[in-house]
Amino acid sequence: MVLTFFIMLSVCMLSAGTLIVIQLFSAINNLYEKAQPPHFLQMHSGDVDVKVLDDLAESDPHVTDWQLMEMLNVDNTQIWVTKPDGTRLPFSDCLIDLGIIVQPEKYDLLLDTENQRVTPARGEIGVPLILLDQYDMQIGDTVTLSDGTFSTDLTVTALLRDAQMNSTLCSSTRFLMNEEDWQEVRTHMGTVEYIIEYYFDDPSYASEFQTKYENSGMPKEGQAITYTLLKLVSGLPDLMTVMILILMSIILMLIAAMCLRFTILAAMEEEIEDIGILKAIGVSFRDIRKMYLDRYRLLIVIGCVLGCLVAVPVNQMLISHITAAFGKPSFSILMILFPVLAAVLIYLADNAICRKILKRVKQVSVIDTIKGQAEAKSAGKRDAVRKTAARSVFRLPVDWWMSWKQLLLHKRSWLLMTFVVAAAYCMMLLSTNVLTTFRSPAFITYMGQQKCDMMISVTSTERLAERCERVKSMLESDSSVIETVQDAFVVQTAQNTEGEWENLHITCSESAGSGLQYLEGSAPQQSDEIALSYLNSKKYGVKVNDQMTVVKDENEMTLRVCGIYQDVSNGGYTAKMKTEYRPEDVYRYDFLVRFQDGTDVPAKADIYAEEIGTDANVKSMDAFVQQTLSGLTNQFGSVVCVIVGVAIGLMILITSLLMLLILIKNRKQTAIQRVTGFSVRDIRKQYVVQTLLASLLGLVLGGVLILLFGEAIVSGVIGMMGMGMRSLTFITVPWLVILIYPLILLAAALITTYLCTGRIKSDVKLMQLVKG
Amino acid sequence: MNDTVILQAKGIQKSYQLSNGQDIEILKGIDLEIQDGEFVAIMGQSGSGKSTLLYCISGMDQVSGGSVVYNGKEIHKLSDDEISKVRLLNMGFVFQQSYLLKDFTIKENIMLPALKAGKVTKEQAAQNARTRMERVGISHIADSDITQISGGQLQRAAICRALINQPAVLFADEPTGALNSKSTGEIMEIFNQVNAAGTTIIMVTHDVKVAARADRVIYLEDGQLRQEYRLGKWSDSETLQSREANLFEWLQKNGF
Repeated sequence: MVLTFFIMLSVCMLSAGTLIVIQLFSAINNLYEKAQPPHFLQMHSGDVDVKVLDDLAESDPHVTDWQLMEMLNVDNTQIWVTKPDGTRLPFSDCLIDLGIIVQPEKYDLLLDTENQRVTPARGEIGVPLILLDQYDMQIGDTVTLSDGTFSTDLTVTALLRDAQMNSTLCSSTRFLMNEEDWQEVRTHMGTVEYIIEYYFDDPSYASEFQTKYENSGMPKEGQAITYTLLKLVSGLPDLMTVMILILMSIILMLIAAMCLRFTILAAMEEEIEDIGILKAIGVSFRDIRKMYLDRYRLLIVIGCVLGCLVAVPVNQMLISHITAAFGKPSFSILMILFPVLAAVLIYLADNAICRKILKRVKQVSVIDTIKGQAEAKSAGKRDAVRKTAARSVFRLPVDWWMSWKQLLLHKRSWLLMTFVVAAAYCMMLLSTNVLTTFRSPAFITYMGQQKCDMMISVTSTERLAERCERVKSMLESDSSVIETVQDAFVVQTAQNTEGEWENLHITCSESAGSGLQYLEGSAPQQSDEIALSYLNSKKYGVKVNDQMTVVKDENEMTLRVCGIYQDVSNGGYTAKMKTEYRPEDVYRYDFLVRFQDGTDVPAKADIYAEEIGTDANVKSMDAFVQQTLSGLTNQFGSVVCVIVGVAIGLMILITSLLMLLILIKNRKQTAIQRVTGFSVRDIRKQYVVQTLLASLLGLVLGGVLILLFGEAIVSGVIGMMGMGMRSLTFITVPWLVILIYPLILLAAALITTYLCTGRIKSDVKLMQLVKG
Repeated sequence: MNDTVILQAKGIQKSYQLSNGQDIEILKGIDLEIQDGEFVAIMGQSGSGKSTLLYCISGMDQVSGGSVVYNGKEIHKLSDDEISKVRLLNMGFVFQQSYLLKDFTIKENIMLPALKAGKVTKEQAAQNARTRMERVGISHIADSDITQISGGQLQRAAICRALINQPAVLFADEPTGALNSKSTGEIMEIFNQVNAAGTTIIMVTHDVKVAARADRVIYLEDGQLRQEYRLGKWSDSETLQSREANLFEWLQKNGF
């Protein structure tokens, strides 16, 4: 019964684990196939000459198609949601720009939760799913657009999945409207921004195309983004989730393997005496093996079948997030094949374990098995344990000493618990550490920014110098400002590893690059030094101290690469220099402001935003980091909750099953103890102590594993994902990971053990147990 | 032996339910009094209920009716902690099999009840265990694993364990049932020494030679106490053979 249950659990874990991976990739592919996000995208505010765009597409053989979309950018204060009960949710605190579009014909589609193309009728609006976490919107709510003179109410009829802007890491998000509504709103409010989208025969051509596009005087008053980057930015939160889910499945599979081995060993050891008797009455080893194999095979088959069946609802539970983020995965034969394969794999593994154990029986003599001395062979090991334990007999209380010795002798059984605690702790630590790192305000140093309280960005090239001066003078007249760093953004060209010239966006200032997370080297000290982001260093194939040639207006400059830092912002392709620049080359200024201690930064940011108006974008850095990463951290936060729940549940489940097996196995020994004067309370205490010791070892093991490999694993996965990071240093919350989590796990294990050992209560059949 | 009653059983009944739901009555109302320092042998044919009687009066098994009073306390009304303490401090048990804990060495098995009782220091408990082992001739296997020694030695170790806390009563269920005649003689010699030192012994046996060492033999038949025979304390003037002959004659005379 227990054996069948364990096998069912193993098959279920393995099947569910593999199913998640298949379904995830299927769901992502479905979404991208249906939504057709662009391979290269350029935002542009200002006029657009369609002919120029078309000419570029015509002249480039790699371009297969292109489209131009209009997005109506609405001031966040001019839009809000009203719930049916009258509650009003304003978007004024939203740091993401809100845009409204009309559903395109063919490409870059906004889909509903069923991954269907949405076409709102008049008076209807579709709202992006990513805003749902922050603003509790539902179908049937009313979205109001109003600038004081004009006002329109639209009913929410769809929640939109946007393959392109599916993340709060993007700077804007899109609502969907009927064309007539859109035209009507346009005439009254908002500014139009163009989305220029190109499609290629090979999406990897995007980066080459970007340089070509930027250098040929095309409209580029706004952000540009390539397919790879797009996929990364919008998929990042989900990729993180997936990474954790996959790690979790691997851990579950390992636990399943351990459980199996232990259960079969325990079950068969119980039978060794019977096998001895069968041998004694002349039944051949071959016949005995067949008899036992047949019996276990039957149990294994039942377990495998049940496991496959149970995997279905378990999988449904685990993939609910994937379904919400990417839509339903399409059916594939693999979804049946993999669980079956998992079952077959476990069947074969179990069979092999059974055969191995039965082989051991062959070596044990008939007399030994009947006399219950089949374990005498391992006397050598027992001697070693005996010596270790003998020394502690005078130091420990008797119950603790007995527990310690039994633990050492039966470490194979208890190792399962150690392993499960270690695995559960690893799962909890790894996911929580990643979450707290991303949630920490110090994460800004991974975003290519030095720490500051407020950032003011002047991005529009129109009247750039004038706007910049205005901000400067405001900051100078503010007595609470203690430091201001002015970053200027310029574009130069450099040769990548394939010999192509690509645009390099460089941030220049007196302290450019200081306070970042450097993988190698340090911030620039001289004007002929350049610090590159990790992704740029890879793109241009340079290391620290290498020479790098950049070209500006046909003037070549040789720079020394002084440092490589981590940057997840702007797609991770950035560079920093401490150099003079020509004001006319600058396309953007950022002011990084630090205030005196005790300054109310969000209030300051509001004052500046009010005064500067549309000339610049003002952000309180804490709010900026929090909101930029909120999509990622919110989603990941719920995944962490699920993981913690699963880990604790797993602990309770495995502990109770393990205790059940151990209690059955030790029934006779327990009865002997009771006869010699140990009370049920004493014996329960021994089991609790053993659980405590095994769990503590597991916690230490899990902690050490994460300490040694945690950052490397996460960094490796992040590196593979192509984010601008190669190495992540965990920013942990010590009281949570060192105190609360271990306490929760210990409590789960100890309480479960205590409850399970309740079976040994005043057992009226004490004598029957002693007699076996 | 003095006249103090150490254990008193009144109308003990014990019945089990078979798997088919039918009740089977093993003990049918047994009255029994054991004097402090007495050596009592319980005899009877297989299935007569002699082992069940032993387990019931030692508190290891519940009774279906009647009561067992040990030192003025009704043992079946004690909590698990209380009965465990009584077992630990006042009772010793020896069975046909040694039933030692397989995870511990011979010496550790013997020491455990003393360590648990905590009446002496751990060093003293170890010393007591050594003394006991020397007395029964197994000190050379003190650190052996229980899987490595013979049945006779194991049984001696089990007796040492049962006596380590100097219990008032020693319960024994066929203690020599699995031993050869030489070992049987040696083990019973120990029993007589222990009894001479003041420990009450209640022993189940079907062996006349073994039972002849007791002060009193009670005979069970079909769950009822049929007869008892007082052999009296074994004095120096008596040989074991003469006691055996007397007991054998009594058994035959009564058709047992």
